Formats: sequence, structure tokens, C-alpha cells
Amino acid sequence: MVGAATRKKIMGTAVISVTGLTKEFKMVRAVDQATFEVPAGSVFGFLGPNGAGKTTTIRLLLGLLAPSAGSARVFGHDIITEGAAVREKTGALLEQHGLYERLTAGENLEYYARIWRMPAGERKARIRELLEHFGLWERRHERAGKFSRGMKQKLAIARVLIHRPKLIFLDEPTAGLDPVAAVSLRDDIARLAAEEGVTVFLTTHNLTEAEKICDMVAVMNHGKLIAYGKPESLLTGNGGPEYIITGEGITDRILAKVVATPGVRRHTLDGNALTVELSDSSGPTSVIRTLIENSVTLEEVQRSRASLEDVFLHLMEGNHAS
Amino acid sequence: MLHDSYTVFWKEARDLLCMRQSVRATLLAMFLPAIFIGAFFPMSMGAQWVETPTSLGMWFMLDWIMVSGMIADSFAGERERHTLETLLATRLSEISILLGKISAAVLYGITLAACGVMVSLISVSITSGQGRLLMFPPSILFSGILTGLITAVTASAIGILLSLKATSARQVQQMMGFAMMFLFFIPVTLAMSLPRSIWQYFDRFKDVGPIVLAMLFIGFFVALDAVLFVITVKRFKRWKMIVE
Repeated sequence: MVGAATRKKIMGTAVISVTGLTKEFKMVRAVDQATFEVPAGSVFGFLGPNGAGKTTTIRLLLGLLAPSAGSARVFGHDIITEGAAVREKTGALLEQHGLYERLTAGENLEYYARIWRMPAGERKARIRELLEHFGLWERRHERAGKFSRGMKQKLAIARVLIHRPKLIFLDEPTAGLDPVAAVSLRDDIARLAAEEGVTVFLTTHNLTEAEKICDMVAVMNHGKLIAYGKPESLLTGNGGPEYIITGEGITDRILAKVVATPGVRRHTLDGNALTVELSDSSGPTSVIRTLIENSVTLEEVQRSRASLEDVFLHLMEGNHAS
Repeated sequence: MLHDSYTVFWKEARDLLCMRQSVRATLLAMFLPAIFIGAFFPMSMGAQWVETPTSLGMWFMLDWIMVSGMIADSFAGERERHTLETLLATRLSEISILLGKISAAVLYGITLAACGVMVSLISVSITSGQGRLLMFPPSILFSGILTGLITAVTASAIGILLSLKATSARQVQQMMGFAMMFLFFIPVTLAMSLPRSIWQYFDRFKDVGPIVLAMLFIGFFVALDAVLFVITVKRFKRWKMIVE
């Protein structure tokens, strides 16, 4: 769990503020006391395995479900009493793309532009702008049902953006896409946040994706928020930094001295390669000093950076164990 | 709210016209039953078709059949095609979504029923008009239009209510078939099998005339529609739709 002080330190203006949000379905607690904030203009990655409670959290934030306990504000609007105001200012791509497959690409966007009461002229210009941006303008008269999955996802994101919302919810937008389409879509999401200042609330299974584009991440499991913060802080905060030190002459006697060095949490020796995990981010200086003082000829010192995937698996293991 | 309802209406109309590969194919599929039913009954009845209130039955039947097909698609169809949650995540209010869907179905039903009635007048004029265009007396025409309107609204209200809970559009269509039997065929069959003594009791109302009868019929359905609409509004809540 992340402390309130840590949260406060990393936050700017919060677009979403969630406090103790809980949702129970009969015997199942889908969301359990979730507390977090989403800063304006950020890409917020909401990670977790299937059934973790991610989609339920989005539904709660959109005012589609009423929480069993706790509260949340989106743009300052209470999700329980002002759900309509929340939906007015947001866009959502939920688990399914939600496109009308009998309608053309243009008509799908036209419908949602009408829903948000865009004037006819602005509507036409915005539809053209988005379809061109996503490379679908030439196919605007084709029925959405004929599109590939990647094109449907792009069209669905265009639909989400049609009314220029300042906050969008994307529920696993790259799921089922081929790698090329997924990368293209990911770039679009990152560009949106960077260029248009849109806050993106992104749930994903793809941890590489989250690591690349998210400014903030939260990890949920069994409805509980088990980690929350900037990706780099999660990377360093779970398991500690690891260094691979390659050198000649590392004996058992020297290894014992290394283990006794303050800050060393774990070590492995594989031939000439010594891997040490440190308990803090102070760096491997004291370990290197120990090695040099004991006549080890150093060849290379390399930081082995844990991926978000490692952190995620580490968190999941810890959560299961507890 | 009206603007939002019109938006939903616009989409329903577009979706309906795109149901088949081309708009022409869709229109043909829509109007063919109306033309067939509109020609069949009057030709078998002759001039009686315009002289008696029998044609009210056609307004009812055509409306019911046409509206059932469309309304089944409203929520159950959206749920089947996974578009419902996305729609619910928009700024539209529940009431404007409901009104948009109901008004589209009602207009669709009435248009096709009116088309069927026009076909019936043409066909009965050709077969029994002896060179002149036969027309309903104003009382029957007025009652027919009202019957059409009321039936379309009733079918929409029942269809929407069923559609809210049903898992598929086909399920709604089947239930609408049962509802039609319950509201129309069973009462008619029961009425026809009543003993003569009971019919004699109704003889005292024989001078009431078609307008009063139509008004009684309409009054019953207005009350039924009002009740159904209130139930539907109470039943159609975002969270209920999501949870179910």
C-alpha cells in the first residue's frame, strides 16, 4: 500500500480523486477501499490481472454503477450525485469497442458528435480531422462491421475523442491487436496526452505498454490497490536496484565480504558475473570499493533494470502470499 | 431532452435503413409485408372492408408486427452487439434514450401501417369499386388512425420493457408474439366462443356505434401504455442495465 504522504508528493492537480471506493456484488467485493488520484494531463495506467476490478472501477468513475462505500470525484463532480456531469466531460472506450457495425465509420462518429450536440459545421470538420488522423478518411463510407479489429479500435478511439473530452477512459484498447496496430495505437494515446493535454485513464494487461506511455500507474488485485505511483518509483521500490558486476578473482572469501557490505540484500555469482540487489537506491559504490580493496579486477559494472513486468509479478506473488 | 431524443431517433432510423446490404433492399423488406397484408384481406372481403370497422384490425396487426421487429432490436439488440454500455456511458439521459427509441419504433409502425391501409384502399377499389375509389367513412378512418397510433405506442412500450431484460432480440420478438396472442387473438377467440346468452347481454350496447367502441379500445390502451411507460422508466436505470 502506498502512504498518503507519497501520494501527495507525486500529485499535481487531480482530475480524479478516489477515496475508499468500494463496490460489492452480493458476496464479491469487486473494488475494495481503493484510494488514488489521477493528475491532469497524465497517462494513468491501471494494471491488474483479469477480474482484478479494473473495469468495475471505470464503471464506478463514470457513474454507471453506484459504489457500496467510499467516494470519488471526477473534475470535482461527485460520481454518485453528478454522474451525468462526469459523463458530459469524459469519453470512454470500454471493454467492447461499442461501434454500430451496420453504420459507416462516418455515421458512427456523426452519431456521437450529435450526442454531444456539436454544431453541424464543427461536427463535419472534427469527423474529417479524426478520420484523417487515424487513416480512415478514405474508408469513411464503409460500414464499421467490415473493418479489421485494429481499424475498429482506431475508429472507437476517434469516437471517444469526438467531443474533445479532457479525460478519456480506455479499457484495454490494444487487447487483441497485432503488434504493429498496438504500437500505432499506443503512440496515438501518448501523443494525445502530450499534445492535447488529455488525461488518459488506461487499463491494460500489457505491462511493456504501460511502462512506455504511463506517467503514473496503479496496480490492482482482488479489488485492492496494491501499488501506486510513478513507474520508476515502482521499479525501484519493489525488489531494489540490481547491478551486474563482472570481474576476475571473486572468491568465496571476497563474496562473504560483499554480503556483509551495508545495503546488499541479495547476491548471486555466476562465473565472473556477480549480481547484487541493493536495498536502496544509493548505488553500488560500497560494493565496488570492497571488491577493489580485495584485488578484484573489474571489467564492467552494469545496472540491471527490472521491468514493470517483474515488478507486477513480484507484487502479485506478494499479494497471493499475504 | 427533445434534442437528445431526436439524436437517438436519428441513429435508430439510420440503423434501420442499413439493416440490409443496401437501402433499397431494406425498404423492400420493410414494405413487402405491409403491401402483402394490405392487399390480401380487402380483396377477400370486398366493399365490406371500407364499410365496417374490420380495417381497425389491420391497423392493429400491421403496427404490432412492424413495431415488434424494430423494438426488439432496441436494448436487447444493443446488448447483443455490445453497444449498449458505450451508449450508457454518454451524456444522454435515460429518458431521452427511451423516448428516442420509442418514437422511432412508433413512427416506423405507423408509416408501414398507413402504407398497408393505402394499399388496401387501392386493392379494394380495383376489385370492388366498380370504377371508383372506395374510401372509409370519416369515423372509421379517424378510429383507424388512432388505433394505429395507440397500438404502435403499446407495442413499443411492451417491447422496450421486454427488451430491457431479454438477452437477445429474437427472444423479445418471441415474447412480443405471445403478447399479441394475449392481447388480441385470445380475447377475440374467447369472445367468439361466448354463449349466446352472454352476447344478448351486450345487445344493449349495439347502438353505441364504432366511435364509442374505438374510444373504449383506445382508453384501455392509453391506460395500459401509461402504466407500461412508468414501469419502463423505473426499470431503465444505468446501473441495472450494467449489472444485468
